[in-house]
Amino acid sequence: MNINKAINERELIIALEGRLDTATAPELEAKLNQSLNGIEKLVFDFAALDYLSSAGLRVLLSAQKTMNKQGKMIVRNVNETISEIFEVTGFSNILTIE
Amino acid sequence: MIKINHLRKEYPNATPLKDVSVEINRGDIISIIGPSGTGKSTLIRCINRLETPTSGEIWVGDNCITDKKCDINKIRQKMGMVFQSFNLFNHLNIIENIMAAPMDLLGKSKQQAYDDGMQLLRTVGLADKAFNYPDELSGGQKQRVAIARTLAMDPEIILFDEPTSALDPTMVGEVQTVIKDLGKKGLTMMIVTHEMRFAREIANRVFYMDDGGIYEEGTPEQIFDNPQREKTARFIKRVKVFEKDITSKNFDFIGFNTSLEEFGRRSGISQKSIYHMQSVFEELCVQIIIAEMSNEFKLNITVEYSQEEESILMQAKYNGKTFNPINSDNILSLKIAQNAAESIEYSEISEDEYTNLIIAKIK
Amino acid sequence: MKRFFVVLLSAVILLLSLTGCNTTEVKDSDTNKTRISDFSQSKVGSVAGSIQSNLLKELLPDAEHVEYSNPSDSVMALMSDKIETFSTENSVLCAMQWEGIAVKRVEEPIAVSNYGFMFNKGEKLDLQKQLNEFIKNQKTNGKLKQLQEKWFSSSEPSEFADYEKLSGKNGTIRVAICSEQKPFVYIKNAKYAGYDIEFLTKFAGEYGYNIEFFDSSFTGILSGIKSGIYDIGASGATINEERKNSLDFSDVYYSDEMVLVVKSSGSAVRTLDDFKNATLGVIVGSIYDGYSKELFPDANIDAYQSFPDLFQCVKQGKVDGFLLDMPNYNAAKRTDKGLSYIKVPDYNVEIGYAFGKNEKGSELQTQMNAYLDELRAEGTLDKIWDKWCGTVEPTENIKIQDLSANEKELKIALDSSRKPFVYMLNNEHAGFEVEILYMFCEKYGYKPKFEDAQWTAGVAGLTEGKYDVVSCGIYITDERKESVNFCEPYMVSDIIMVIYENDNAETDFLASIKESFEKTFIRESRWKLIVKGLAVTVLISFCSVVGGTVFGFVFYMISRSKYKLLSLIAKKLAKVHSIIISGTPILVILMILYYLVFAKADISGIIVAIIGFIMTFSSFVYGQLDITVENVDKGQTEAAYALGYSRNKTFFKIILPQAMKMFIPAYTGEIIGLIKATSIVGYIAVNDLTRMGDIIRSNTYEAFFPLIAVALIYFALIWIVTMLMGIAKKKTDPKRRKNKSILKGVVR
Repeated sequence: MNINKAINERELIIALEGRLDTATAPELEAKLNQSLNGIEKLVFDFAALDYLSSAGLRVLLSAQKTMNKQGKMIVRNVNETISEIFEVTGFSNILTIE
Repeated sequence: MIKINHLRKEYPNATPLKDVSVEINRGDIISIIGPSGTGKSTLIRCINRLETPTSGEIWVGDNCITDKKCDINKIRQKMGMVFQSFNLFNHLNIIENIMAAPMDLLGKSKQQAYDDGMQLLRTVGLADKAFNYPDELSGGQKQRVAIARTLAMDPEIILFDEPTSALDPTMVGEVQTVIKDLGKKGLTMMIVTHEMRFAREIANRVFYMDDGGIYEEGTPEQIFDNPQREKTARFIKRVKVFEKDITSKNFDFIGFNTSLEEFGRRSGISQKSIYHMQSVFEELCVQIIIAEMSNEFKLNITVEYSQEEESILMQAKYNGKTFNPINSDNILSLKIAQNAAESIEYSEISEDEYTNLIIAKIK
Repeated sequence: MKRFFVVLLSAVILLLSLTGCNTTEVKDSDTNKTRISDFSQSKVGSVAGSIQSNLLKELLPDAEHVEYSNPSDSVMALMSDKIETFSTENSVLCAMQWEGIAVKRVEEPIAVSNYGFMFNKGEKLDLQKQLNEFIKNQKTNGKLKQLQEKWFSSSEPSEFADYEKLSGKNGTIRVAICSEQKPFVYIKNAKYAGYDIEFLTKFAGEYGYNIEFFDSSFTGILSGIKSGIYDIGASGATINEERKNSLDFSDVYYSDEMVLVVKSSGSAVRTLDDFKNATLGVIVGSIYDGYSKELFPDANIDAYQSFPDLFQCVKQGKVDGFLLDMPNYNAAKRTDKGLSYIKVPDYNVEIGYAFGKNEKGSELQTQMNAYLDELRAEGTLDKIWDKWCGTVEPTENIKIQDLSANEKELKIALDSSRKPFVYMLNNEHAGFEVEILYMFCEKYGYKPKFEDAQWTAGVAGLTEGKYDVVSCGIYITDERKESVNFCEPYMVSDIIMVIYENDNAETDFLASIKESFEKTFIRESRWKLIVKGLAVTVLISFCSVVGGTVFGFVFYMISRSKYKLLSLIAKKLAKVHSIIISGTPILVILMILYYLVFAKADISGIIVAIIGFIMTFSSFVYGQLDITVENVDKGQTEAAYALGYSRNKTFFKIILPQAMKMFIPAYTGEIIGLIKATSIVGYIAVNDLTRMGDIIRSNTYEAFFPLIAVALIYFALIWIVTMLMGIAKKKTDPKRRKNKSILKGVVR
C-alpha cells in the first residue's frame, strides 16, 4: 500500500493506494500517530484504494476519535465495495463520507 | 481378451502407473479420461509394449506379453494404434501406407493389398487421395488414413492415443465420425481422449485415471452423471481447486492473498468474487479463527470453483478446541465476512486432526 | 548442362592463358655474368633443403634467397624473371638443355658435390660391400667414365637400360628412387631411365640380382631407407655430413659441379650446320627449292604456296627455317619482331624488270639500264631502295605526276602481291619497282598503264605484245633469260635463312599451347603415364569408397543392435575412431600406416592408401548415418512397431529410405573430398594422377600444362561422380516415382 500525504497549513490529505488490510493497517496507524499533531482537518482519499478489511476499519475508527477532538475527518472517493462495507458495519454513521 | 495384473510403470522422476489391474473384454469400447500426466497414454502404450512395464503382467488372449520370450511383433500385428501425431510414412504415398504392412508382414499380394486398401480408403472417404503423399493432406485426412492403415491389418483391438488432440477444431468431427462408425461395427477399442462428449457417446466403459491408476471406472452414465469419488467428480464438473495449509500465526499473509488472487484470475472468477474470497479469508480465517488459535495449529483452506455450477466454495478445516467462529465477539469482521458470503456453515468434524469445519459459499 | 559447359570452357581458357604467359625478356647484363660474386645483390633461387641452398646463403649473404620445392619450379621462376639465377647441379642443367630450355651456366662453380647410393645405417653390409666393389671396378676399367659421358651431355641418349630382363637368381633388391631427378632417374617411354638406373641395372646384372623400383618423393626415399623398407636409395643423392649421421653412403659414383644457371638468349639453333637434318620450307619450283636441296641434301623439304605461308610456318615451328632474300625479309620483319636470320654465304639473287624479247623490249631494256645507272650514280637508287626495302614501313605513297599528257603508252604488268617491290598501299599501286617505273615514265615521256597480272601471264603478254614491261620483283635467272629480256639487276640481295626466335617475340598463344600439349602428352607417349596415374587414382578412390561404406554401414548396424552390450561397445569404438580420424591429417595417417604399421609387411602403397582411406571414409559413413537416421522422426518408428514391424524391418523399410534423402548429398560431397585427398599418396610411393603430373612436369620443365591437364582430369572425374550421384539421388527420392511403377502389376 502507498500512503501519499499532502499538508496544506492545518489540513492533511492522505491518499491510499492499494490494500488496507491486516498486513498494511499497522503502517497507516504508525503514520497517523506521527502526523496528526496540530491538524484540524484530516481527509482520506480512497480513490486508489482497492480493498478494505476490518483491520483498516479499526485504524479509521481510531483516527476519527482523535480528529473529533482536534477538528474533523472526511473520507472521500469511496468505491462501491468499500461503501458496502461501511454500510454493513455501520461505519457509514461514524465516518463523514463524501 | 486383455488382462492386466498389477501393472506398474516407473520413470526416473515419476511413476504414472502404480498398480493397475483391469480386464478388457472383446467388444468393449473404453474411453480413458483424466487430468494430464496421470498415465492414460502410458497405460495403452504398455498394452502394445511401446512402453515396457516395470513390473506386472499383461495378457493378450493366451499370450503373456510381459514375458521376454513373447513374440511381441506378432501380437502387435493384431493390435492397431492410432497416434496423436498421425505418424504416417512420409516416403510412401497414401495407398502405399495402407498396403505396406499387409504386404510386408502378412504376405498379402500386391493386388489384394491394393484392392483392400482402396476399399478401406473409401470407407474413410479418402479414395481420391490414394496417390497423394502425407504432407499434402490436412490433419484430419491424415488421421483418417492412419485409421485405415491400422484397419488394413484386421486388428482385434485398436488403441487410440488422443486421436483428435492435434487437430484443428474444424477437423475433429470428421475423425470422430470415423471412429464412431468403427464402434458400430463391433471393433474393440480403447480411446484416450480429452473430448468429454465424445468419450461419453462412444464408450460402454469409462476409465477415469488419477492417482497412479484407474481411479474410478464405470459406464458413461455412472462416471459422467454420478461420479462416486471426489476427484472424479471434480474432474467431471471441471472443478478447479485451491488448497493451502497454514500452521503458524506468522504465515505469509500477502503471499496467500496473491496466490488466491491468481487462482481466481486463472479460473476466470470475477474480480468482485475474488474480493469476497479475500474478505472471507481475512475476516473469518485470519481475524477470527487464527486469532483464537494457539501458536501452533493446523488450518487447511480449500477453495473449490465449479464453472458449471458457477459456485465458489471456501472450506476451512482447523484443529484444536472446537469453536464456532460465527459466535465470535468480533462483530466487525463477522459482518464483513457475512456480507461477502451467501452462507457460512459450521460443523464439528473428526477428520484426521481436524475438529472444525467452516464452509462458506462466496458471493 | 549448357551453363556447366560455359563455365568449364571459361575455366579452361582462363587456365590455358596462363601457359601463354611466359614472358622472357632477357636483360643483356644478366647473360654476361661469370662469377658467383656478380650475383651478390640479386634474387637467387635454389631447391629447398638442398646442399647448394645453404652454401649459397653463405656465399651470397646479401642476396635475396628464394626457395623452391623442385628444379622445375626454379626454371619457371627464372623464365618469368622472378629470380635472376638459381643453383643446381651441372647434371641437372644438362637435362634441362635436353628439353630445349634456354639456359646456360655461370662459369664459376659453387662447389663440387659427390653422389653416393644410400643405405640404412649399419644394415645390408654385404650389399654395400658388393656395390662398392662394383663401383671400384667400373672406375678402373673406364666404364664409369663412359657412362658419365653418355648421360651428362647436352643431348639425351637414345639407348636405355633394360632392367626388366634381369635374372634375379640371387634375389631381389628393393631400390627407392625419385623419378623427378633427371638425368639420374626419370621416366622415358613409361619406363625408368637415367644414369642411376643404368648403373644399378649393370650392378644387378653382374651380381645376379633383380631390381624392384619404388618411386616416391625424395624425402620419401630418405624415410623409407631409414625405416628399412628399401635396400638402396638412389636418384643423385649428395653425400653430406648431416645425412651420414643416419645413413650409410656407398663410394662416390659421380662427382658433379654445383652451378648457377641463367637464361641464355636465342634459340637452340644458331648456325647453318644446325639445319642439316632440319625441316625447311620452300615454294615448289622456286629457286630456293633448288638451293635448299643443294645446301641441305639431308633436310626435310616441305612445299608451301607463298612467302606469307612460309613466314607463318616458321613462326609456328612447322618448319625450322626457309631461304629468302633480304628485302622480303625486311618487309616481314617490320610487323613480326620474332623473325631472325642467318646469312647464307656465297648465295645471292638478282632482281630486275622483264621486257619482251623483241625490238621494243630491247629498246626499253637499254633505256632502263641507262636510267638505273643514272639513279645509282646520283645515290637516288639507294635512297628509294631504303625507303621501300628497309626496316620501316612506308606510309606515304609515291607522289604521282600527271603523265596522261604523254603520247607513248607503256603497258605494265604488275603482280601486286610482291611486297616490297610491288603492292597496294591505300588502294594505289606502290612499291620500289612502281616508284622507279613512274620516274622512268616521267623521264622518257611515257604514259604508264598498269594492269595486274602474275609472272606467267605477264611473260605471255610480253610475247604477244600485250605488255611492254613485267614488274614482279622477279629474280633474274638464266632460265628466265631465255624467254625475256632483263634489265641489269637494280639490286643484288643476299640469300638468308629465315628463322624464328621466341625470345624476342610475342608468343603465339595457340602455338605455345600446341607445343605444351605435345610435350606433355605426345612425346614419349607420356599420355600413357597419365592414364596409369588416373587408373591408380580411380582404383584407390573406388575401393576406399566401397570399403568405407561397407564398414561404416556394418558398424552402424552393430551399434543399433538390441544387445545392449554389443551396441555400447560399437558406439564407444566408433566415437574413439572418429576422434582420432578427425584430429589427424590424412597424410599423417597414411605415413603412419606406411612407415610404421605396415613397415615390415610386404604390401604395396596402394593397399596402404586404400586402408587409410577406408578408415576415414567409414568414420564419415557411420557418423552421417547416425545423424540422418536420428533426423527421421521417432513417431514413424513407433507406428511401424505398433503395426508389428520388427526392429530390422522398420529400419530398412521405413527409416533408411527416408534417411537417404539427407544422406546422399553429404555422401557425394565426401566422395569428392576423398578423390581430391588421394592426391597425397605420392608421399607413400604411389604413382597416382597427381604424382604423374609432377613427374611429367619435372621431366619436361613445362610450367603449367601438366598441372592444368591433371586438374582438368580430376575435374572431369569428380563431375562424373557428381552426375552419377545425382542420378542416384533422383532414383532414391520416393516422390519422383511414377504411379505406374509404384503399382506395377496391379489392376486399378
